[in-house]
Amino acid sequence: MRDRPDGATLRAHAAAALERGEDPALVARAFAIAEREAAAGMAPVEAIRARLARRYGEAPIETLLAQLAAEIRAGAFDAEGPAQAELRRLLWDVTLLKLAESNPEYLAAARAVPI
Amino acid sequence: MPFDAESGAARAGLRRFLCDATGAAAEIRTLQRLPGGAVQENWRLDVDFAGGSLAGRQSLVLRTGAATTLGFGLDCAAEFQVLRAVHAAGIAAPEPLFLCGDAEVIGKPFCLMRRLAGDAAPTRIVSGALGGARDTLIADLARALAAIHRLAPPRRDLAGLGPAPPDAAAARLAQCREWLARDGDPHPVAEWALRWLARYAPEPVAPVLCHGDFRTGNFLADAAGLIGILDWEFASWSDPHEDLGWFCLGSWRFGAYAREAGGIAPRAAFIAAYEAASGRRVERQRLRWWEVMAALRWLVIALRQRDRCLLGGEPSLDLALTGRRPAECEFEILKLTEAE
Repeated sequence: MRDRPDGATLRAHAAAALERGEDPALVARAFAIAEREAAAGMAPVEAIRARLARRYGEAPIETLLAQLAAEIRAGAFDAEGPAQAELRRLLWDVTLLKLAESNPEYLAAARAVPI
Repeated sequence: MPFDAESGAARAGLRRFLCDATGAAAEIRTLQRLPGGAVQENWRLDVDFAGGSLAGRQSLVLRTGAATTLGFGLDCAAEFQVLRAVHAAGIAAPEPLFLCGDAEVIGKPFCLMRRLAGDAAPTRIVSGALGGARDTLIADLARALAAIHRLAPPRRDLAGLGPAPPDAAAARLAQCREWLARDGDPHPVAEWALRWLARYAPEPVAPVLCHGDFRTGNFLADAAGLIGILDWEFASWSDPHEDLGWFCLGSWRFGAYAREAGGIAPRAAFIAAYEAASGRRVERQRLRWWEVMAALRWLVIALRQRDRCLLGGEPSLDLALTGRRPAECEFEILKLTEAE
């Protein structure tokens, strides 16, 4: 569910970048993402997985997200109605979780402005 | 291959090229990588010419492809054509000087242009640290964009852009769909965007020259306003709303989210200035469509930037971090496609 590279990989890239003398602000940003991801753990991912499992049956999160993506691609949620509303809620929840870890400053700035 | 500025062969090749191109002896004084430019490398190049067409000390920029590529965008020669056309049209952009298509000279094709003054750093532009009025800058940008959009096909001198697509929106949608299909991870919000874009696709319009990456960070400015527009490698024949939508995308506001036009000005002020300068009427629904497209396009570009690092082996933390930027795009897609 989280975008790649994951926290551990980012940490490794950040450590290498530090040695190469790359921008310290980028290094700090990478470590901060990794820390937020580690602090959140797998609980929010599991919560999303459980919601998807109710629709598609038990499976790993990436399998379920791939099924959801395929259904969207096939037009299953094109019509306005409860299914589309539920999809929007789920997509918002996933996106807000990811953004809170990857770029909380963006999220805070965007939320301060009325949609 | 990255351009190796320390290589004696590359420097000697460059010096020979400068001599041949200008008809004078050339001494390289500075050759230094400039910041930014994830897709292309830009090098500050200061040269002393002993006569010839550029006699004296010249401040130039050498522009060449990065070590790994995105797999799309214009090549050096086509971008050089665009720079020539826009510079000739009086649009604020670096003056293109020479193109070298021979990969033997420095290891890959490159072009040379005059270096412009000013600052391109987004946070300094957005924060107002450069001094000067934001409304002057936004008016300059709107005028420049209107001038770019006055260039229309057919143009023999812009053959590198290829033929204009009959329907630029449909072409961009097909391109994004193809890029997304190539990514191994599931992207439900991007799939949602593809469906929404297909459902609300606008009628085709007469195409014009679009910059393709017209945003804060890709122009030089100072206290007096705009100095020059940079990074033309994504130029194409398209709907002028594409540049407007890209400019307004949330990702390019650099902390000043409420100033929707590039973090510089309110959207309405930018659109009004553009309409006044271009004589075109901006269609709000069409603009919204292109802004959703901007979010989707930036999302798929971010995935490809990520792969240059994770799969292509280019050691860049900036590229690795770009892999975590799709969430911003997804936020914008969901916000922009909220039911009426």
